[in-house]
Amino acid sequence: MNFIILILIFAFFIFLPFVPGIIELLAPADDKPLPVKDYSRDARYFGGSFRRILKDSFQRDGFEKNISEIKLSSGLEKIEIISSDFNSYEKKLDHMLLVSGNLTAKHNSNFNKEIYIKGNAYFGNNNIIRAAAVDKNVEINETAKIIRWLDANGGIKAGENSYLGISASCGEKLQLSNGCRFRRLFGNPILTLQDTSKVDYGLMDSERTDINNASISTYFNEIINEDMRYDEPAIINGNLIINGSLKINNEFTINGDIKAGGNITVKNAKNVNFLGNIISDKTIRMSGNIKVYGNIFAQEEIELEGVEVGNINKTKSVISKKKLILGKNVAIYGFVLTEGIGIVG
Amino acid sequence: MVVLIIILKIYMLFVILVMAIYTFRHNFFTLNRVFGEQKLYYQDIIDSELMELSIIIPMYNEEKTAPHILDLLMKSDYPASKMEVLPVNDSSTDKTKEILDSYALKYPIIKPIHRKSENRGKVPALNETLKIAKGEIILVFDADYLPGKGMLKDLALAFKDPKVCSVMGRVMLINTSKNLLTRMLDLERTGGYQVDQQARYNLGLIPQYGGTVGGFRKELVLSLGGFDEKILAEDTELTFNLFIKGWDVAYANRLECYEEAPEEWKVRANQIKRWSRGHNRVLFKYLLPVITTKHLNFYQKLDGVLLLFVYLIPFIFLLGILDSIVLFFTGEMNLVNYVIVYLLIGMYVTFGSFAPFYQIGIGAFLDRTSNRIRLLPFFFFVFVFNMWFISQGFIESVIDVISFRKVTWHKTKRYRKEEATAAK
Repeated sequence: MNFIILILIFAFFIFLPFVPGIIELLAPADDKPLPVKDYSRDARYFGGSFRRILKDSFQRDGFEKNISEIKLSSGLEKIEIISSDFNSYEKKLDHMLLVSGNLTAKHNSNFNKEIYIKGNAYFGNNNIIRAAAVDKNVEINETAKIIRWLDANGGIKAGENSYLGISASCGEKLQLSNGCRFRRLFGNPILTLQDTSKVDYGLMDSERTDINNASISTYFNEIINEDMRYDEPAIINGNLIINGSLKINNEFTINGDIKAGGNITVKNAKNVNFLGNIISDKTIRMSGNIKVYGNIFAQEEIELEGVEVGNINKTKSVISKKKLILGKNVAIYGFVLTEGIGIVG
Repeated sequence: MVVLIIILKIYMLFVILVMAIYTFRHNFFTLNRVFGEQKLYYQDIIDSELMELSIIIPMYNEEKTAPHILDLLMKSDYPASKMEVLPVNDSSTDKTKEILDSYALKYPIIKPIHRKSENRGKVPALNETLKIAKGEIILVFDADYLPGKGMLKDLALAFKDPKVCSVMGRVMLINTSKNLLTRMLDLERTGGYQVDQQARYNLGLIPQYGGTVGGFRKELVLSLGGFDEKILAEDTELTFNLFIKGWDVAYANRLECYEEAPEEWKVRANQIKRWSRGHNRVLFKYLLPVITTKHLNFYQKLDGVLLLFVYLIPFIFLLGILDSIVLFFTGEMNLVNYVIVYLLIGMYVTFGSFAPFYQIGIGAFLDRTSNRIRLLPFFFFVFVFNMWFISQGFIESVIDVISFRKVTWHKTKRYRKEEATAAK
C-alpha cells in the first residue's frame, strides 16, 4: 500500500510541471504567431504619419468648429483650429493645435500636444514642444526643446543648446548650432557651423584627387589582420578590410569601402576622399578636409569635423551606437542617427 | 571486462564534460542577450544607392505557396529596376510551372527558371542559378516564406559593410497555433534566433546563415566554387567557408519573416534528420580548417567548433544513456555515478535541448509573449525526439562519407491551403 502511495506521489510530481502546459494547450492564451513588423523605412515617418492622420480626419469628420476632436492611436484628442497666424508668449497648451498661418511662440511656451503649422514656425527661448509638423520653415531658438519629433517640409534652423528630441527631419537644409543635442536627423543637407578659417573650407571638387586620372598606389583584395597607418599620400583601389585599426595622417583617396575591427582615425588630413562606405566595430574620428561618398557607420562613437557626406543627389547616413559628435564644417546629405548622445560642438 | 568498464566510465565523464561546456555556452549567450551590449545591424542606413539584387526561390511542387511569396516580393519597396526574381522550378509535377509563367507575363522582373535536370535539389538549383543571376547580391527565400515590404532593402544593407559576405534574418512561424509540434517549433525558433543568433552576433562569434531569409555576395560564392553538392546543409557550409576565410555573416534580428513549420511529427523527423545529415558533413569537412585558420580568434574558433558539433551531441548523449544502462546492469553504477547521471540528464534536458530552456524563456520574454513558455516542460519529449532522429542523421552522414553515395534532397511538406493564395 505504501509503495502504491509512493508511486502515486512520484507520478503526481512528475506530472505537475506539465499542468500549466496542458492548460495552455486545451485553452490557448498565447498561441498566435508572433507579430512581424512589416514596414518601409522612412526618415520622415513621424511627420508624414501625423499629416496623414490629420488629413484623413479632415476628410472623414470635417473640422468646422474652433475646437474639435480627433481620433489618434492614443484615443480622442482635442484640437484647436486657427485659421490665421498664431502668436504665443508664456502660454501652456494642453491640446493639439492646427495653425493655417505662421506660428510665433516667444519665450517659455509649452506645447504639450502635437501641433501642425501650415506656414512657418518660430519657437523662442525655453519653448517646450512635444511634436510639430510644419509645412514651411522652422526656427528653434536657444534652449528650446522638442520632446518627441519635429518635421518640416522646408528647412530647420536650430539655435544653440536646443534639444531636437527623438527625431528632427526636413525636406531642405537642417542648420545646427553649437550645443544642439539630437538622436535622429534628416536633412538635405544637415549643416553645422561653417568656419572659413579651418583648413578644409572652400576646397573645390576639382581640387580633390580624381581617382580615374590618378596613379593607384595600392590594390587591395584581401583581409588584413593587423593595424594600418598611412603617413604618406596614398591612392587605393579596392576595399580596405582590416581587423585592426586604421590611421590616416595625409592625403588619401580610396575607391572602395573601408571596414575596420578597430578604430578609424583621420587626423587633420587634407584632400581625403572616401568613394565608398566607412564602417568600424569601434570608433570613427575624422577631422580635416574629407569627402565621403558613402555611409559612415560605427558600433561605438563617431566624431566628425570638416567632413562632407553624400551630395544633393546621393542620400547617405552617419550612424553610431553610443555617441555622435558633429564639429565645425560638417555637411551630411541625408540621415544621422545615434542610440546614445548626439551633440554639436 | 575491466578495461571495458574503465572505457565506459571515462566515456561517462566525457559526456558530462561536453554537457557542462554546452550548458555554460547557452547560459552565457542568454546572459549576453539580457545584460550585454547589443550590436547594431545596418537596417537604419538610408542610402539612395542600392545594390543589384537577384532573389532566388527554389521550388519543387510549390503551387500552394508560389503565388504568396511572389505577390509579396512584388509589393517590396525595393526598386524594381534594381532587382530580379528567379523562382527555380525544379522539375515540379504540379502547377508550379504554369503559376510561375503567368507571373512572368505580368511582371517582367520575375524570370522563372525551369530545371529539367535529374540532379534535383536546392543545392544544384542554387549553383545553376548563380551562374545566370545578374545581381551582385543574391537573396534566397524558401517558397513558404512571407517576406515583408522592407525586407529586401534591409537585408541588402548589410552588404554596405565590405567584410559582410552573408546576411541572415529572423525566422518566425505563421502556423504557430496549429498543434503541439508547431507550438514547440515556435518556441525553438524564438530561443534560436532572438537569443542564440543575436548573442553570437553581439559577441562577434559565428552567427549562422540559414539558407533562407538571407543572402550572400554572388562573386565571392562563385569564387569559392559555389556550394558543395555532397552537402545537404549548404547554409551551414557557406557560413563556415566564409568565416575560415575571414569574412563575416551579419544577423538581423529585426528582419522578421514568417515561414510555415511542419505540422506532422513524421515530416519534422525527416527535416531534422536531413539537417543533421548535412550539418555533420559540414563538421567533417570544416573542423580542421576552423581550428587552423588564421582569420578567427580563439573565441570564434571555440564557438565554431561547438557549433559544428551541435548535431553530433545528441548522438554522444544517446551513447551516454546506453553507457549508463550497461554500467547499471554490470553493477558498476555506484552512488557517485547515479549523481553524475542525474546531473547529466538534468543539465542537458534543462539547458541542452535544441533551443535550450533558458534561451527560450528569455526569448519569449523579449518577444513579450510570456504565456507560451508554459509549454517548456514538453521540451523533454522534443529532446528525446530530436536525439533519436538527429542521431539517425549523423549515422547517415557517416555512411555518406564512407560509401560516397549521392545525397538526395527531400522537400519538406507544405500545409498551406490552396484557396488561401493571394493570387486569387
